[in-house]
Amino acid sequence: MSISPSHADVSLDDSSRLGGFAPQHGGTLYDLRKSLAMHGVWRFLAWKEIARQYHRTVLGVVWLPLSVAIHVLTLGYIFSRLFGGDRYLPWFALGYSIWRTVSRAAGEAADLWFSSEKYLRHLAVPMHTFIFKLVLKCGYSALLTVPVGLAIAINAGARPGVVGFLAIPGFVLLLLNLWWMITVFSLLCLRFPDLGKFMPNLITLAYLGSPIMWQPERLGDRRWIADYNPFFHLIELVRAPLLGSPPTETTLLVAGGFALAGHAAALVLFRMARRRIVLWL
Amino acid sequence: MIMPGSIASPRPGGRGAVEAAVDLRDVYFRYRLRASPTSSPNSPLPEPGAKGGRNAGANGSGPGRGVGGNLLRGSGRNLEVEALGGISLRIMPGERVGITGRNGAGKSTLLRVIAGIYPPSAGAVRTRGRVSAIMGQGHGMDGTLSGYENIVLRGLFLGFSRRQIRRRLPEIAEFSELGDYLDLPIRAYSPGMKMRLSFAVSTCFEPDVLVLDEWLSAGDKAFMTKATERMSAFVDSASTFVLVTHNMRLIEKTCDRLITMERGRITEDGPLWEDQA
Repeated sequence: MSISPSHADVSLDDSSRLGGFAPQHGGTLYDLRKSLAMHGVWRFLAWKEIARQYHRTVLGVVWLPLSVAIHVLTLGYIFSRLFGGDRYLPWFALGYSIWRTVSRAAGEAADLWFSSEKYLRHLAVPMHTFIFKLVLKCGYSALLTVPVGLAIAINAGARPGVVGFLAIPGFVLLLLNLWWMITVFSLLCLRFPDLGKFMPNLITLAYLGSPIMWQPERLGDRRWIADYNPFFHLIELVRAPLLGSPPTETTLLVAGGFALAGHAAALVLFRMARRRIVLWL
Repeated sequence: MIMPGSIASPRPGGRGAVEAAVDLRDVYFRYRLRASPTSSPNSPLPEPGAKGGRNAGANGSGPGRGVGGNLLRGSGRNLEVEALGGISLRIMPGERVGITGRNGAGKSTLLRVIAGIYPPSAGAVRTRGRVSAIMGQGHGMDGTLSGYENIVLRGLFLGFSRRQIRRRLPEIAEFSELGDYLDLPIRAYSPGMKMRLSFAVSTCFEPDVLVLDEWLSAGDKAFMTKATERMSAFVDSASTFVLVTHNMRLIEKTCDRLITMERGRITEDGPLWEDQA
């Protein structure tokens, strides 16, 4: 039997009207559109999953900001002596609380499709639903940790002033970057499981190798190590305004260009992988 | 017995006014897997080229292996599994289809393709309206969430608003008979209880096509009766269902069309009573 194009259109319209999803019906854009419409699902799952990590604890989600405070205050106490200066603790407190968001994105991206398998094998779901869920989780996580970093920074003498509000668009640009990173890393880790195993090492390397617990000035003539590090600029998007100075032009250019190039790469990769995600599980 | 594919219509527009609820056209589902390195020369895996390509054993008449789909191309360690090998199938609204076949014949894969869970490797799949699937084993629910939370989550997945879901909660709770258990995380449920919840959820969200895989195997007698009744009520609502089971009694009780599959192909397809004659 043959099916006319109009027949296909009818069934496509029907399934969208009824809120259904048929992966056969369209490409990446269809998946994106359907996933946006699934906002109920990813909003629900994002918060439930954060809460579940602290399941059965007395303090619950409070552990998230608390662990940041403990980390920053103990290590900050030691390292402020090693690295010197009154400006150290605000720098480290903000840098680390923002980094937690980036490391969550990378860490959970490695596992994203495996942890979604219980839905992917039972329901016709657009794939970006789970990508959006993780982006939102990172957003929630930042809202819980960055205020702690900011409070410690202000207590230690930081005075962001009005410039501090620039951290909000900076944060949006950071999330835009995390979004494509989640797409790319989750698909790569699914296809090449070895990469997933290496991910925790990579995250530690990036944490210690980026100017989070040390300042780029200390590199002297190797300052380029910081300047060429995209994570440095991603963190600066939020950290710089909260320390009282707008992000530098370089930071904006790197973060913006990174977002554009990254989303282009994510689009290509997703197109290639979309229909195979269920098969690779 | 009607052979699939015999319903070749010339061109668009040649069909009647009624649109099929499920319309599969020459659907293949293949995937490549790496054979376990421990498989010895004596393993049941075929030698490269031994099966002679995709048409070997098409009707299940091939020698030896009676279960599973076709294994193709043993290049190196990679084997290609052909779980569905050219399925054409039209199911009209209100039809109640039972599918049987040996283990690995492709029944569950076919259901997943119909439900839009697996994209076909080749061929076209069209479904009309909302498709709801009960695939067993986990049921697409999260073990750490409570029964109520899982109902809400499923409703959201199916595109309902929170308010619409809340309106259906009492009915789902009543039908599943789970009572206060709905407040507990479902990992505390027995397989039968999970199945009750899954069935109640899947049918209460008004599917146009309901797809069920071995759905009653875990239910007790009382629930089985209740569920069968609800299935029968589907006839009036012009909903379609497709049911995979080895239980012929169940098919006789609930279906009006029987499909038999073997090695990823449909070998028999026809009205139930004709087959019983």
